[in-house]
Amino acid sequence: MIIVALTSLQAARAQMAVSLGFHIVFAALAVGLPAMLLFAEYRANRTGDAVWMALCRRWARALGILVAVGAVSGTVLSFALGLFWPGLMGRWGAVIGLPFALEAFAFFIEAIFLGIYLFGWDRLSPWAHWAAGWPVAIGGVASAWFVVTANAWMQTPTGFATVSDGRVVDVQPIAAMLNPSTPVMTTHMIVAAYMATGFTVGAVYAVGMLKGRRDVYHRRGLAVGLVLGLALAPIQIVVGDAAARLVADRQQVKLAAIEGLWRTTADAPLTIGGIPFPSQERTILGIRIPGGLSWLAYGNTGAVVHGLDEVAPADRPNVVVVHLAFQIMVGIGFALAGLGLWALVAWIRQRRLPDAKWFLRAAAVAGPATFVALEMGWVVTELGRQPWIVYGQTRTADAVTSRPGIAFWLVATVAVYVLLGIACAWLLLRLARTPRGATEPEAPA
Amino acid sequence: MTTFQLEVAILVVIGGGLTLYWLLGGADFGGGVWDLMAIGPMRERERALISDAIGPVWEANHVWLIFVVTGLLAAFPTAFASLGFALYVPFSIAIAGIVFRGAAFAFRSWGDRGSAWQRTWTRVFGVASIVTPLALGAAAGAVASGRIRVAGSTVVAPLWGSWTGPLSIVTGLLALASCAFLAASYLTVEATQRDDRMMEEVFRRRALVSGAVSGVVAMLGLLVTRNVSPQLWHGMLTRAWPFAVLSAVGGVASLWTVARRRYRVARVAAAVAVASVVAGWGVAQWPYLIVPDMTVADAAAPANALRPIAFGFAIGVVLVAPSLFILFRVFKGSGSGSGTPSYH
Repeated sequence: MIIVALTSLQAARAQMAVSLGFHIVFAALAVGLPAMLLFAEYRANRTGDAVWMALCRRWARALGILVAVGAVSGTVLSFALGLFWPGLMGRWGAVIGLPFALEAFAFFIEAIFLGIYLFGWDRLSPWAHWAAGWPVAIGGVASAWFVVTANAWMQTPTGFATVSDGRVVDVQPIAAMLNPSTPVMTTHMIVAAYMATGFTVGAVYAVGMLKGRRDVYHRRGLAVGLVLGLALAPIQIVVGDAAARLVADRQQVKLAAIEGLWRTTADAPLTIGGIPFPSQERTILGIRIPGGLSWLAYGNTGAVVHGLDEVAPADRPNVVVVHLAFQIMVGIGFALAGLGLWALVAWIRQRRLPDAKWFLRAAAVAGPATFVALEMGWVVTELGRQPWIVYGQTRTADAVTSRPGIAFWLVATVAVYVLLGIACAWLLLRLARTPRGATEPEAPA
Repeated sequence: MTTFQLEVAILVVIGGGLTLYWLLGGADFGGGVWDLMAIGPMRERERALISDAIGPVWEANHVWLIFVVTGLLAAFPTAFASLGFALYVPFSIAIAGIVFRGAAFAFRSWGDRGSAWQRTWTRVFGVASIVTPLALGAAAGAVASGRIRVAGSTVVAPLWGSWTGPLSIVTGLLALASCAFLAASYLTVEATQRDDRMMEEVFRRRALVSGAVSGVVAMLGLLVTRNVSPQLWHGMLTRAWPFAVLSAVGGVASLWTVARRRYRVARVAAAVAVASVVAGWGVAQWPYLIVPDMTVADAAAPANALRPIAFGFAIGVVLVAPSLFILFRVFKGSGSGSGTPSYH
């Protein structure tokens, strides 16, 4: 009943949120897993070690399922841009269509060599098979890069001029693709994809070890996943900081929402935690570090930081959600870095990864937690951009279709994705529980 | 003048992508159709052949659709937005079909043979493989039918009526029948590579039936066009007739060669037929991208935007063409059927 009461705009936004939120899980794993496959298969080919090959084959089977769901959910998004947001694509397609068109080629390379990789074990020599994995890994990263440039452009649109009647002229698609947000946003996302993959793979084997399967297969699976994730965790903090400073420069209302900063202030404090109350225009219960926000955003504790009061309430994003999502993302990011410190100290002292119960429990939680952080990051990016679909240029409300029945679409999307999500989870769990060795069975065709 | 040529060149490349999607992705849908219709004692063997044939290539084949959609988005953004609005329902149906087809195909290869899991996803795979070509074919017919009107920036198209006219019905059926024919004729090649005479015969017969149906539907299409789309018919008579002739020749030749068991030649003839239909369609409705209001020039992005797209296409083709060659060489080359197909 709530669904029926949604406006077209609300339903279309919710549909997009569900579609993106679903797709990003599969896309991130499809970007990250090939790199891990390459590593495991390299070790297997080099050493002839059956354990490395077992890990590689297992991950390859998982990748097959994940990419299939990622491919079809990505297709939904490419159609959805036209179906729900004709106001975005009709007006801005010439400016920002290029990365979508180029992404198709990156996806081609990924899909073609994935077919060769997954089905070519017996048709190619071991090293030729290994080589076929490279285009999969590179194509996946390139796909992510192109798509994120389009989103980066929606945050900091460049590469065009507008004339008085609103027409878009002097279109420069390459400048649009290389907009100011592109370097840092694409890096942030690709690092996040590798982190999410690493921690998720690590979590699978951490759970296995907690159940007592402390063999070399599980130890290696855990080590490869965790080392990838933990090595990137501190790097991601640096990249994330750069992303936030970019927002401070280019999207000041978004920064104010992220920080729950209601009034323009010099010496702005950094609020850690806290709950924003839009009705009172206050953020309560947070820990405040004096001058912290001014310093982080502009490198100077006395700098003026623009608050939400600079724009009318109608022009503000949802402060509560954006602020809380950011706190969760950053909190998880630092927790993962902390886990890395734990592992590093243990490595220095014992020359091996810790296998204490609490470390394994933390590693098991780190997998899903990374995905929570990833989703929260996109919540901050996309909700923080509102009420604009193209920041400062086109309002989301002006881009949505006038077609009826979007609420139905939303319900159908949720139902289908819940079904696919459950089926996919069931398959992957089944795969994880299949005993190793006797069964790397041929898929019953 | 340069802009004019560039947008036409890009449209031709997108048309080439559409042709390849029909020939390759379409055949994968056709495989799903035969999968659903596999009944009787040999159904598991038929399904195994279909799965082996589709497995390594369907994702790459699917990307041709992404290529067409994103190419339209980038080079003809107003057409993309207008079509998204006008064909909201058939595109929605097609997306649902695409999602279920892909997911079901990936899921069903799991689970125990004959389990409820496998039977359910097999059914889903088959139904989605029928629905998707019908919806996409109907949408293509709508573009040519003149039922989508564009006035300035306003698109006028009834939610249901724009894609359910006689022309859309025919194009929807033509898409379905031709996909079934393509799949059956390719499967004869797969069967001969595996020295499976029985499967060869099964799919040879099906290719003959579905090919004949495709031919009848195509002729029906000409009749409908003459009666309901005078503008398109005029373009057909004055400009596009060589393509119509070529597609008829290709179609008859592919049927004839299937009957004579020259399956590899049949594949080439079918490709000629399909490519001629796409080209003839474009030529018949020239200069319109969406009949009868939006011309190719109206819909094209400015030259500044088209140039990097053309450049990107050129680089993309250089990368993708050899990759596809390797893919088909590994899985569809002569003698490739002798190795046991493996998905470890």
